[in-house]
Amino acid sequence: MTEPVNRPSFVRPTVETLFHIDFAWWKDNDSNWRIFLQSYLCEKHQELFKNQADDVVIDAVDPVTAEVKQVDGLLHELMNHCAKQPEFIDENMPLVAKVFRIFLANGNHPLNAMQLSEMVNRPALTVLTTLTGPQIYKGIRIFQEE
Amino acid sequence: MIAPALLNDNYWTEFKIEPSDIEFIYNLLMEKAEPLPSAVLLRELISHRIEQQKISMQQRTKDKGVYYLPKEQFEKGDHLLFPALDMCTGKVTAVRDGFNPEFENLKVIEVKMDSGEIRSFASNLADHALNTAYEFNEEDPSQKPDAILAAHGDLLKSRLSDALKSHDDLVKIAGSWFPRSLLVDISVGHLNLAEAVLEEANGGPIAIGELMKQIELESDVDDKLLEFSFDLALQDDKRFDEVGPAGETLWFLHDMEPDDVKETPVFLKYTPKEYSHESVQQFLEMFEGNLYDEWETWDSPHLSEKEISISLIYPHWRSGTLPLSNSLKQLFPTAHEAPRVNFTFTDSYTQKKFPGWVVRNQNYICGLTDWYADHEIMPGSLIKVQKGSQPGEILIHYDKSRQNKEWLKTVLIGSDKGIVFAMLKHNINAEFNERMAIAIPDVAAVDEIWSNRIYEKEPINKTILRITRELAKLNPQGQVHAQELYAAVNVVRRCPPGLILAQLLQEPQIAHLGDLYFRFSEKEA
Repeated sequence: MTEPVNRPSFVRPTVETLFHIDFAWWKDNDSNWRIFLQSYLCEKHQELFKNQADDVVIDAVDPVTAEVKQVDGLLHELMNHCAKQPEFIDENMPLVAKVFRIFLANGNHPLNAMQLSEMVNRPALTVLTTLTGPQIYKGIRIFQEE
Repeated sequence: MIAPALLNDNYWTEFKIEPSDIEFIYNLLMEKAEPLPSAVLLRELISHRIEQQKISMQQRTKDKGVYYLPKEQFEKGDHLLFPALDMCTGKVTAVRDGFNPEFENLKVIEVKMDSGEIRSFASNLADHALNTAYEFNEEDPSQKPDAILAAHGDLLKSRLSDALKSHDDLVKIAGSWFPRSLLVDISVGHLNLAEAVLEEANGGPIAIGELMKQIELESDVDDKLLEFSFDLALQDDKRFDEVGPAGETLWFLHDMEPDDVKETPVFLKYTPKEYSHESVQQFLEMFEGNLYDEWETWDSPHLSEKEISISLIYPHWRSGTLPLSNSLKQLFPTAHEAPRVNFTFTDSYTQKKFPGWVVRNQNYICGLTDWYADHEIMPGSLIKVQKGSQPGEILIHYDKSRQNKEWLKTVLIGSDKGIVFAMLKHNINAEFNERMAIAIPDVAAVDEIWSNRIYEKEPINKTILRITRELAKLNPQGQVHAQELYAAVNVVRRCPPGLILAQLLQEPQIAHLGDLYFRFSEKEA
């Protein structure tokens, strides 16, 4: 008897297909991902992380229960502080850069091309074609529910 | 920080007035120094109970441990209570320095929850929503007096009223309560003056404010308190009767009230008899409209109906009254306490106004003797009533009959006081219910039956059989309709329709033909 194998979906993506930053895929496929992310930090956090180890963990505090969870410090600060700054997303950025920053700012909550098109002010089909092109940009991939 | 739901529904359905509640009400009345209606007291009591429950709940939870507030510092061994986690509890097992660039001096405590799970929480964290006071959810219906009153108002009101009545020091008048000891003394002289003023006004009714003005009752205390004290003094004096509808205090001189208000007319007196209401329920519903009887509870309040048409039975026609059945209670003025309520009838056609009385305890409305006579109303006539434009006003009228003369069941009384029915032609004025119309040419002879209680003395089944036999003679099939029998039996004694039906259904001599038709069984016939 053969084991079932998880195969990639061959279903053609539509404007309703959800996307997100697949950090796991990105870590596996780009050794510089952390350096790249560090460049997205705000000035204050650039300074703060300058002398920290790459994989520093921080005690993230839940805003409702105050429960503490240890998380990747760089990602946590980037997504919870730096990406929330008003200048983080610039109107004139290229499409993929803008989409990448949108995901960082919204806590990597999956969005489809239609939703993204309103945020980046470009047609949904253009967003879809760009995100499903041959090159995967900064881990932005189709969201697959576990 | 939001607390869980405070009180469940059972709390209010099992609600009992405790001595501490009475003390609270007593203090409230002392503090306000003015009489307060039951509804206000109830609302205040509910709010007080909710507040008490909050305090008690906070105390109870506090006993389980210290509230976890992120701004505090904790030590190993501390027992904590987590309001944000459904009041879960746990014990601090370790404390370490935390690292988070956002929060300086953050400490992390490890807590072994009562479930056995180990979880970490922030401490020494000044800026966190959980640091605000532990608050109850203001939107929680279990702590909103309005929602509680809507769901349980009647029950709570009756329990509060019973409890307050049992306290001699609290007195109630026109729906408001006050401690007797704080009332203003009203002298007998003032009461005598009030009697004279009411006598001058043909007995009344006079509103309390007007009465105070006329007898020049003044004091340096609050006006409301003086009014309440005067009301109570009048209430405690048998010469006076409070006759105002709910929300209005009107006084009348008891001696000058109509006789039919002071005492139930002989025609309406009835001693309830036991019978199975369930067995007749389905048949009662088959009675045609216009039948309202104060001894029946089956007619539901016709809230949507603006006008009610009543077919008179002999006892009400003879007494100049109407039955205060459930439906009519919705139309006529009522009161918090007053057993007799004075109001105004207005003839819809002539606009003539005349006084009417709702005698609440005996369930009848009187004041129509002259109006019935003036308009040649007879038993079976259809009387229409509706609320007037003024509070406490009832519009009354009847529709003129299209015919001047009609064949009607006519009561003839023999010299032996036996009753016979015959179909005779009579002049008629008002529209009538064909089954219930009965002409009474000799009212004095029928009166003699009532005053000597001739039929009242015999068992009810005997009267029913006697009248059924007489009515059966009016048609070749010998059939009698229950509604027709109800009207006829009530010519000689007061009897509600349910009892007549129950007797007919259980009487071996009577056969049920279906619908509301009955006849004597073959053998008897």
